[in-house]
Amino acid sequence: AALPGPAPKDWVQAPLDPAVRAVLVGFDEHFSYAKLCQALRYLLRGGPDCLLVGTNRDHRLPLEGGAGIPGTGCLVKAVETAAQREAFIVGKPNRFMFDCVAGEFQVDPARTIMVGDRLDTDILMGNDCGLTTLLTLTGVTALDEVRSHQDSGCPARHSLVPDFYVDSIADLLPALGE
Amino acid sequence: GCGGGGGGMASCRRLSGAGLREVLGPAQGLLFDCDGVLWAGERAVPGAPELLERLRRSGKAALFVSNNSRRSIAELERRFTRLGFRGVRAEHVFSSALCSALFLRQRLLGGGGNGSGAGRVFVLGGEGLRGEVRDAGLRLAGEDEPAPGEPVRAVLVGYDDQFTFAKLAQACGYLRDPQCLLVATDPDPWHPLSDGQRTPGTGSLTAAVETASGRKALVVGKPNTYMFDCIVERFGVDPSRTLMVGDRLETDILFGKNCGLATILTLTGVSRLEEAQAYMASDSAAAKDLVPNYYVDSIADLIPGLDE
Repeated sequence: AALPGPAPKDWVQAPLDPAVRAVLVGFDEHFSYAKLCQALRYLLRGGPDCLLVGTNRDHRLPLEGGAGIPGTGCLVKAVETAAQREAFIVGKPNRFMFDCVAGEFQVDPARTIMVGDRLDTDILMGNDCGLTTLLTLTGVTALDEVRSHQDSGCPARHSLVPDFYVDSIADLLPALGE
Repeated sequence: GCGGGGGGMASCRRLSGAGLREVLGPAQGLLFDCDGVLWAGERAVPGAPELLERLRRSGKAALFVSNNSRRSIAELERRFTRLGFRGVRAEHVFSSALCSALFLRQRLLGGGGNGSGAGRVFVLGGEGLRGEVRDAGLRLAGEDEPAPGEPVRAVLVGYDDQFTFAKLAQACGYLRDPQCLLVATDPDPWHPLSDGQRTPGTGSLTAAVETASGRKALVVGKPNTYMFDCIVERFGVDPSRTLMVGDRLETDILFGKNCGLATILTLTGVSRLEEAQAYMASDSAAAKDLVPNYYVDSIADLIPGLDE
């Protein structure tokens, strides 16, 4: 919908949809101050009766050559800061998605391997859900990061350490027989 | 002195009657926040212009320190006049826009000199903020062709109601250079609008930039003390004889505490008395610093404390 005027004091005059009961923050390359403003309006109107949900907290989406673009986590943080409340995060490392998968496919954690490239999402979720965790080095994580978590005295950081690693998931092929 | 700064927790006493004269009598000057203290939206707080007039007649200084990074100092000076405040000159007004520009001038240009080779500033903010940065002798990214040796040396996050994902991505691109500073005008998470609604503040935009870049911003505005340094440099204020008057505990009152000033909370703005009392009752040491020495319902209540 077009903005009803040039400034926030005009935007906040537009009527709110009475049926809205949740604000969901996902990846939005068209994120804007006006949308942030509108999200804040719904959250203030509804108080605890309006959910604040984020799809994930990833800071960056990596591109080739070390560049990256801002991740959903940035937008979630903007809304959380303006509203002074914490979002419920659906994505990894929260176990919600694993519970969805496990519920539908009768997954036995003791016989399941989580394969990922990111310690604070993939590996952390896998470890928290009792899966065997396998780090692949074709993504954002370098091995020395893992070593530094391993060597830290901190139990929270130990949860970021995978059971195993491979240079690439292609390295799994020889283990799968003809 | 005025009973501020030093050790011990403030006690949030209502300022009235004899107490008013005891506190205002020795004060040489008052620092005022603006939004929610002097005015709300387009309306002056009733009695506020008279208070400033009485301060002038009593020979006490009135200076203004605002986290609002939307307006240039010239716009603010006109606003004072339009809302009925007389005798306020530009040099009395310190906004986070002005002080951020001064901060960047210090860091990028050093002790003076011109802008060539100093690099540019990428500003997330409106024309008021951009103008202050230009007035400080700095060049803005995205305006005319960059000369060789003019990389972007700072990203400045201010109140930006035209903030977009694309600008966020652009800021992150510049911040990949570890030499590029990340500066924010103020930490305010939201600001009140006249009808009780709220509009997101610089703090929410800064949180997005910090998360995307993995960097922490240098925050110029209250409660950090840089704006007080700017005031002292221009006017040589004695903290022990100066009172800070504000409406927001987390910025104004903490700023006063950080700068060694006695603090007065006015209830015409953001913070409620119950919030101050809750901080007072809290076990946390950080919470104690948010308790004002005194409070008033409105700054008009200070008038009886001044001589006729």
